Amino acid sequence: MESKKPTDVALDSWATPLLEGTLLARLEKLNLLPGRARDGQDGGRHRSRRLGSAIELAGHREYSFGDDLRLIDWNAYGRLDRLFLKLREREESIDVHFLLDTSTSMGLGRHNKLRYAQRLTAALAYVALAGRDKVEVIAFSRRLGERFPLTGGRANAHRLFAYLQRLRPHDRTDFSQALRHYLALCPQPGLTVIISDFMSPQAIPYLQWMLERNLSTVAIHLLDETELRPTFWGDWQLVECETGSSLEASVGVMAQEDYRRRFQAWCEELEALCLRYGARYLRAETGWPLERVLFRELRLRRILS
Amino acid sequence: MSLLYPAALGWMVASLVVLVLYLLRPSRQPRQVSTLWLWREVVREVSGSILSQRLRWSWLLLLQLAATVALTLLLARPYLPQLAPPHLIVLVDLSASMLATDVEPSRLEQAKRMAAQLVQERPEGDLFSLIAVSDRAVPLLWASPDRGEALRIVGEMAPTAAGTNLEEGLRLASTLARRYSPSQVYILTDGATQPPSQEVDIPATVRVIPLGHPVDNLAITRMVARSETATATAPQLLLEISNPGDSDAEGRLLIYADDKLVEVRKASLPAHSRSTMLLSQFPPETRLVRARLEPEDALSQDNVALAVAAPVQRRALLVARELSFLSKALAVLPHVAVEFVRPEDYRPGPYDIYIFDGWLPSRLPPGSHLVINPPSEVDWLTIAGNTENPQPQPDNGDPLLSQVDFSAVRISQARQVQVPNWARQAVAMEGGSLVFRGRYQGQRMVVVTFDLEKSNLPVLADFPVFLDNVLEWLSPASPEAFHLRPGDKIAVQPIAGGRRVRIQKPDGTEVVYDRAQPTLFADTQSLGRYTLLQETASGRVLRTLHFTVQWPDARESDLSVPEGIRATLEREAPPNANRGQAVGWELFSALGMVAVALLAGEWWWAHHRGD
Repeated sequence: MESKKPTDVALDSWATPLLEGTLLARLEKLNLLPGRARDGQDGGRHRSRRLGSAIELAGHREYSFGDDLRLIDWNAYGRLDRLFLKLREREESIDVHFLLDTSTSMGLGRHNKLRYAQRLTAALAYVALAGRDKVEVIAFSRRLGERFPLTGGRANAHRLFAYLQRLRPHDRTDFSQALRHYLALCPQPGLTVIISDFMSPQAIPYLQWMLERNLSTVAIHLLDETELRPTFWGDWQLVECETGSSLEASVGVMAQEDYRRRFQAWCEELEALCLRYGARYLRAETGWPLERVLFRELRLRRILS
Repeated sequence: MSLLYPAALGWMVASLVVLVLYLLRPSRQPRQVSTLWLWREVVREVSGSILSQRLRWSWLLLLQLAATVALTLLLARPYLPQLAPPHLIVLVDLSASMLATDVEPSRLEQAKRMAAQLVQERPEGDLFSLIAVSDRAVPLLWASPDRGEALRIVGEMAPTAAGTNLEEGLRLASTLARRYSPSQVYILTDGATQPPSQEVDIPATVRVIPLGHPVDNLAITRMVARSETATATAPQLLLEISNPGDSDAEGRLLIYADDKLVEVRKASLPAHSRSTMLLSQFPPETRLVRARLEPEDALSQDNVALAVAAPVQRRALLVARELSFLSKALAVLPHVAVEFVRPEDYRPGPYDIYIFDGWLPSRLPPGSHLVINPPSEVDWLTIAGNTENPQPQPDNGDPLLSQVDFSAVRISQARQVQVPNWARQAVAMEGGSLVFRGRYQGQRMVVVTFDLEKSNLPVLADFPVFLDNVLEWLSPASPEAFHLRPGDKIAVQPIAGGRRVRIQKPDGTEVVYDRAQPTLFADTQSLGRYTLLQETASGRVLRTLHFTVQWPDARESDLSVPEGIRATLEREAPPNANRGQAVGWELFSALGMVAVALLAGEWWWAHHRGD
């Protein structure tokens, strides 16, 4: 029988830096793929649905009255004796909004989920800033908490990191309040990245409510091994860390198996919801190295390139 | 189905304990989890009221109750009874009188033939128990169905020179008959025994098979050689002849001194009589006296007797500051040669007894010790000081005070000694002891806690008697101490320098004790002379001692085969004697397997279902 401990001790320290210098250098080579988000401002790295003045050639069309004469392809006129305009792609930046779950459950686990989420947010935000996108980070639990306002420029990365370092797990999760407030605050967000353990029965209905608004969304489902594969058994008083409510139960091997199956089904339900609405979904474990998530899992799911 | 131990069903109360444990709400340690809603779907909540909860269906509870019941039944040992096989119990008298040859070849051989016949006549499946009876009863076979084993044991039965303890044999038979019934008890004896002092209740049919024919028998039933003083060189012989037969008997008594015929006497005794005679005309330095009765009769073993004639001369060392009343009294005692030294000249030697008067060596030598007026600096005694005019409180039953009136003793001062736990008081005083005795580190010791010079004891007529008692207890030297009966024990007390004790038995075999430790020699089942040699490590003999083992009892010489013993012992099985109580097939192993299976299932369920 596993030794009885009131809770698993988070092994990660709050004091260590979020990202090492070598990792930052590697992150600069990554791009954040916006998905459906296309209505940003000029000057970014992302190809726009609209045409612009980028180097990349998007095609030609016949000249019509009123078109900009600077765009006429004189070489084509020489060959074809007809006026054609050179159409070039437009490059634009997008606004990336990070919704970071800071509820108490994020502080639980053998590896601290919030700490892991902070590092992941910092890395993704740095990729966005390096790609001339703007970044906003909003912490939420029962409601929206402290925000890091929409900011662009790599030079602001250290401020963002300092903001993230200050976040601590507290309060309980209320997806209905948090997502309602978020959409009221940002009715037309560019790309929304939700990083959470989604440990609430409200998570799926309210995520669905948000996805129905056809937003470009990335859901990063962060889990700890103690939640995925609990190993304790025997007689326990199970206490929900966010609400303090308890359940006295005898946990056996079969109950553990039932729990794992139920947990897996719930995760798959969440993933299916995201796929159904075109959102990108990643289930990550806090035991994985951050590099694995950044350079493998997120690229496989077309979130980073 | 019956139960061997129905009282064990009381353990069923353990089932109630299991139920109570289920009713009580268990104390559970808290464990934080991220969310409960997933857990609520897969486990069942077991909480109830604060102290107790409602009993609900649980496979775990059912398995635990079943395991409790199985274990309780296991303790009660249920069995399937079957008709018990008949049980034959044979008591064979192996006492000395069974050596009589009035039947060919002897009464014992006749008993063995009869026992073998009884065993062989029994049908297959019967149980056999064999009990050998001499001065004690020994079960040789315990309710065994093995007929061959029973016959082998009967064939190996050997005679003893001991008396007959029939009562002990009957009690053993009673125990066997109660355990295995129906039983039939056969007693094969010549009746030369004392009837049981108490009636032994045997729930079985008892039959007595008398062995031998009533014949007359003259016997030497006691012979002791004694020398009245240490200086006497020719012994006196005290001899007892018995005629337990129903008719007058005559014979000749031949006396040998060291195998030389010295006297022939006519022995004529009426029926059921004894005669004691004192013979003293022996040559000087006679060591061994042998007496023989003629003519030969049916029991030749009691026609011969041996006695050690040489007086046992104990060596004693008196260590005192000056000669006193004590040395004078010791000088007149028989069988003791006393040497005197002052403390500064003291050296341990091959002495039987050390007498320390007012002084003690730092280490006690091997031997027996009489310590008088012990000095205060002794580590094995706690001396708190002195007591003035103590009042003696004698224990008149103590062997040290035999024929001694200690109440006349007046003492002006005595040591205030705390009696050690190994000692027993002979004369007590208020808050202490005046005389005590015991075995300290295996050696006999008598302590007199007062200075003899500060009492009137040395001038009393009882003083030499007291000293003789003390020396006799420390190192027995009376003639009786060296003329034993079969089964008696003799103390072997190593002397200084002795490293090995050899005891030569009458049949020529030897018993050797290599450690120089006090011991008790009890292998005295053979009649005749024993020689005890105390030797140094190199084999030099320091001391030689002879003792004899003589005919056990005048009753063993009674070859009259009394008819009354049948009337006394024979009986029919009581009508309420248990039948069919034999254990056929015990369900022990089957129940054990069920209990183990239930416990394994319970563990599996608890581990996998946790419910």
